[in-house]
Amino acid sequence: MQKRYPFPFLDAYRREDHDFFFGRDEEIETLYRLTQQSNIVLLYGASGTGKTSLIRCGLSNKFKSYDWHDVYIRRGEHLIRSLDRALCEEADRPNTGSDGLTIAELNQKLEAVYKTTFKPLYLIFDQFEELYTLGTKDEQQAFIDTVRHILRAEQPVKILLSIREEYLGYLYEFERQVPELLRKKLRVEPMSLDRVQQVICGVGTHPCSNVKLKAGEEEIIATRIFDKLRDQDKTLTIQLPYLQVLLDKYYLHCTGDEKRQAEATLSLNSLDTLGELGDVLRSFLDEQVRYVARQQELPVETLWQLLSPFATLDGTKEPLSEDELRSRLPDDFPLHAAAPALQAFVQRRVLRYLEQTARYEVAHDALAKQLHARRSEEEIARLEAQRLIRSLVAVKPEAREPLSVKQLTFISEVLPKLRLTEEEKAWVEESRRYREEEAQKALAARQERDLSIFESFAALGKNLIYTLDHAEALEKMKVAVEVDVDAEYKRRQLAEPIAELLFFFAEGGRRHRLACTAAELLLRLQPEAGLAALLQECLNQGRQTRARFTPLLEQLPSYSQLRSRYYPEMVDVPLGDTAVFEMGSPDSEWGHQDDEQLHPVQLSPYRMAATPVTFYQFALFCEATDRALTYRTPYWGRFGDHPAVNVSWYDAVEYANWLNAQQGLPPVYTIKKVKNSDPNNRVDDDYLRWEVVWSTSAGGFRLPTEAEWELAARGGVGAVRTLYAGSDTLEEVGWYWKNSGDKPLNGDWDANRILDNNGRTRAVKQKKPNGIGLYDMSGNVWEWCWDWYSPEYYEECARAGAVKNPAGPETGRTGRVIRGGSWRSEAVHCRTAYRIRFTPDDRYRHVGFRLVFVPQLMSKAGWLLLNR
Amino acid sequence: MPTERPTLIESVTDKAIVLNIDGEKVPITRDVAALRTLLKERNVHIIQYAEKIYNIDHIDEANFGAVTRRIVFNSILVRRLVDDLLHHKDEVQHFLHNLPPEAKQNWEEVPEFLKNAQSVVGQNFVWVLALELRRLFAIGGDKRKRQEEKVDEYIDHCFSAAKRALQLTTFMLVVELWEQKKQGKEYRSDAAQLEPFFGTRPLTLLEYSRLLADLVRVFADNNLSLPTGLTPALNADDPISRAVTGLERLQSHHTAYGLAHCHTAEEHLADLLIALPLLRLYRLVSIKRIEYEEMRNRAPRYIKDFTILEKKDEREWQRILRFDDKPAHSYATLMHNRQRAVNLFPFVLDYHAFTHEPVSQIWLYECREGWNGLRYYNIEQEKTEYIHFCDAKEGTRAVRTEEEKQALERDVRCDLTIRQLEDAMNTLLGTNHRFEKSADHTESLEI
Repeated sequence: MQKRYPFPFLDAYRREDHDFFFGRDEEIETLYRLTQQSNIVLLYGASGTGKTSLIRCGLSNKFKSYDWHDVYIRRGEHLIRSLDRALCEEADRPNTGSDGLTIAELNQKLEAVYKTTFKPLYLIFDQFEELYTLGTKDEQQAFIDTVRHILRAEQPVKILLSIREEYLGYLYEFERQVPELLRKKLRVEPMSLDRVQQVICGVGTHPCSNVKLKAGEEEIIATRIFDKLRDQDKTLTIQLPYLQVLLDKYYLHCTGDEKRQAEATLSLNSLDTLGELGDVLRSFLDEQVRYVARQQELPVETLWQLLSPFATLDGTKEPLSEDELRSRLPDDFPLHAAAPALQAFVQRRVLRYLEQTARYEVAHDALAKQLHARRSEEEIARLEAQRLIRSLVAVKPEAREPLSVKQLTFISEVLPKLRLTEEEKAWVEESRRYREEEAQKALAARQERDLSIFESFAALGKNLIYTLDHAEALEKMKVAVEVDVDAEYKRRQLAEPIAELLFFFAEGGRRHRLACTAAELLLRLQPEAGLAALLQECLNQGRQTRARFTPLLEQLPSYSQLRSRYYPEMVDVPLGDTAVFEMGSPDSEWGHQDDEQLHPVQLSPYRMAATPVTFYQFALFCEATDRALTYRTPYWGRFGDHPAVNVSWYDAVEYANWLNAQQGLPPVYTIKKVKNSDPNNRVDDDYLRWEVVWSTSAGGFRLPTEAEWELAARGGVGAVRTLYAGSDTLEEVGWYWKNSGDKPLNGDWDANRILDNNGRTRAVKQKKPNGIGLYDMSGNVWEWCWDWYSPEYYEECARAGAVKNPAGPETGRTGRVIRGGSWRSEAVHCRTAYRIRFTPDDRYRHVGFRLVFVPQLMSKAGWLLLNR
Repeated sequence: MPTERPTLIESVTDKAIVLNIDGEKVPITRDVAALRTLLKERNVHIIQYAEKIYNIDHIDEANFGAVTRRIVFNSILVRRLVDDLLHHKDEVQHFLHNLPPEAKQNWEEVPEFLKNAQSVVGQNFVWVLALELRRLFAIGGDKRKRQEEKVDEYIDHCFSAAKRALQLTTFMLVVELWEQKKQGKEYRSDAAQLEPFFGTRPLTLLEYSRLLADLVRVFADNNLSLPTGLTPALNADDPISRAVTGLERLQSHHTAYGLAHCHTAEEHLADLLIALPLLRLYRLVSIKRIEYEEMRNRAPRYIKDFTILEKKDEREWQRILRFDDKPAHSYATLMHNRQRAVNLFPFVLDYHAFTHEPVSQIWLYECREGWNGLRYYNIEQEKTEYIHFCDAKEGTRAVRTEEEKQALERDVRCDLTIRQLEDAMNTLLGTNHRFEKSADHTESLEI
């Protein structure tokens, strides 16, 4: 009996190796049973568990030769082409090389193969994971279709699929379309100690084997080999390739016979001399590469480069033709050395040549794993990039996806080192172009969107300032500042409103945090260096008082505008040489009333506010004194440049006191906020009747007296007398019932028509000022004066001769004087001489006020502030 | 195996043979006696014609014609089946019609035509025989094996095919008689003739042929209608007996088979199959399962899951679901044609029907295993299978797992199979035997 070497090394056991195939009886029996129960069977297991051997040797030997026609199909360059080629070869027919087999072709070919042998055909798709690691989606679908056809063909054909278990998940779509796929399946278990013992003892005792075990030491040798293989690892199983490589190494160690013909008797002693093995497979690979390097006189690194393409990025083997290999090698690889080195590796059993597909592949997946483990990060990145590009280009052009930006970034680092086909290069370039255009479009769209957002928030913020919701305006500005738009444009749009918010909250002196927020926003707009430094300083110090903000505010470019917006702008009233003027109206004047009797009045110097107190100004007062502004809002809305309305006489005097305090001046009024505390107030309708004592000696801001109001309205002493403040034509200088609404009204005064016409206050300074630059003295809003109203008071004054600084009667019975008419008044009531009164605590939507400033006794500091 | 250098047959004509004996060309008449005489004179035992090698001792009148033609395995069998049995079949006529004129005479000598003919032949026999013929074709056509390596295997399968042919025919008649008797019809018969059939040893080819002859006689004596394709009179000179006798002689007298024996076996097998045309007139159909459905205000119905084992033309499906209101026998394996359907259960089983596997697995009855079980032959796996009486408790049983359910169902069905055979046996033999659970049989059969 001829003895032979029993170990197949990294090759699978074949049908003729039946004598030496041990340890798999149970699995063979199960697999055989499954093939009897179904026309499609799936075999899965980890790499190195011997799936291929189980079919090629174990299962094949369960069948008589006349019941078993096995056709092994590997993917090659395309699984359907490989199947077609295999069927054609079996049927002795020419190969069509088609990527898809029609049902008719498939049936014909299967029948032709069957008629060649009259044996049931077993189509065995080994290393089936290659369809998923190397194949395209189209190829995968084509294969599923083919399997479905085969299963319906009613030919004596069975299909066996062998796949690594980590790829089972890829079969989802396959199973969805071929539900029987996973019904009959077998997991091939890794080699346990028990099985290793069966293998080693079985081989060692078989009469045909030229490897024997020393009698009595069989089991212990097997155990020691098992322990050596698992090394420090305490797993209960090992991989077959490791066992095979170790046994081969052990045999060579004992016999030195590379032809593997000599008989060897393995013993514990010889096993001990083998020494520590470490990673058997890695050592094997290293040794073979070193050997071939010496033999071929090539650098070791060159050979690693040669082997590397044979492993996929998943650590599985990738069969390659010489041409395919050349296309994967680095540019500087010595190509003339490739063919001899490949042959050498085949001889050294590292590579295997597949005749059927004219390709080389590594002898086992376990070696591919080792090859992959040796790769540098750079090489892995290069291969990943290559795979990525290939997978995309593998799809037909009309369905091809361009590389994503992330992918382009990733491949850009390794692109110069990639070996790409012209089509692949073109696709990378096309992808780049596509993504750039896409990015530009996205950028433009984003910019457009950002600009739109920015403008919306900026406009909203500005509008909120105008409608006096400064806190909410600040929130909107915060958003606007964050939006990515052109910095200069942003600065132009936001600097002023944010500066205004800073001014407002700083001057308000109450909500410093908001002022700081505004400062921070302003700083982010990159203002000029000086201001930036002050803002930064302000933020660093976390300023807590109004005064501390002042140096910063003074540096704001819009500071003077802001002051004139939030504080009254005062105008000197000319008094001429005598400071005496004729108060009231002559009897001949149109609309003259009985209480307007002309009488001379002498006044001390004073200044009059150019406009009624606006909502801007009143809002600052409310901010500073923590008053609500909301309930003062008229039905048409609340706008900063409109005169403040819904303010009582008491509000006005409080405002005056606040304004003085704000300017560092003592209060003009002493306000006793006790109901009915003013004995001179005999106005029944006045709910409050607070005692307000005017310190006439004190300078500063205060309500004008009736005489001061009228002289200012008339443009000072010596001005030409007009019916209204600055004109005889009310349309020129004032808003009244006919012109304050949406459209001009005519005819008789009618409250309902005014309402229907949306009659309302108007922004100040829209009409012509009078001769000394005072606006809106006639119309727009009635303005509170200090004086109690008395119809006889002029007459009393007239009787007294030239009265100096008259301040009205000592007591009041009907109310305080209001002057100038309003947006809902008839023209006659807007006359400069016209007098009327309102209850002091009443708030009306057509009554406001303006202040005078009396310079007498003003401190130097006060003057400075006022004139700044 | 002969080790001497063979004498070559250089050429064969209608009347003469030219031999090359150690370089000397010797012409003789085309006659087995002349050949024997010459080879005896020259002390030669082995001759070779083309790639065929023969032992002169194996050559006789029966196979001499084949020896001197350019044919190897299968040629005789296929040619005879085509000529004698299937010539009226459309596909056979089509095949013959399409042969080129020069091949019409000896088409079986051209591998391509032989393959086509084999394919047609295989499709026209009942599945069990089609399987055996396929194996003969596979063994004969196996290019990986040398002649001498496959001779034994080939002849064994000739025996096997013959046995399956006789078994199926016998089963049909046994089942018919059983049915008749169950229906209370009395007929003249000798129960002793059937005793070996229900014995504990499988019948030999010869025993089967004798039993078959006896059964046919019973049918004839009692005016029972024989299945289509079975000749009424069988005796020692009829073709079936002759063929079986020839095969039996080959089986019992051989020391080492040669190619000539294959020719002989083929001739006898062809004789047998030609004498049993019913084997091509029936199909084998297995009923996998029958589901019963009944709903309010609707007549109950049955859903029958059939598997047709043969594939005789493209229009037929292998698996059929039939919805009707007629009950049918569960697990039936039917020999079926347009006129007749004979349920061969329990003599033929589709074992996978017991376990609900979609692919069929056909077992043929061999003999009893004492009073505890039955012995079957798994024709696909070519191995002996046993069914043991489990005495599985029926009625209402709790099952916890799917595996438990399947095992219980399988045991119940195995018991049912045995009880069916017991009934057939007692009915036909007039006995009252009972199968019992074996004391040492405690576990169910593995699937």
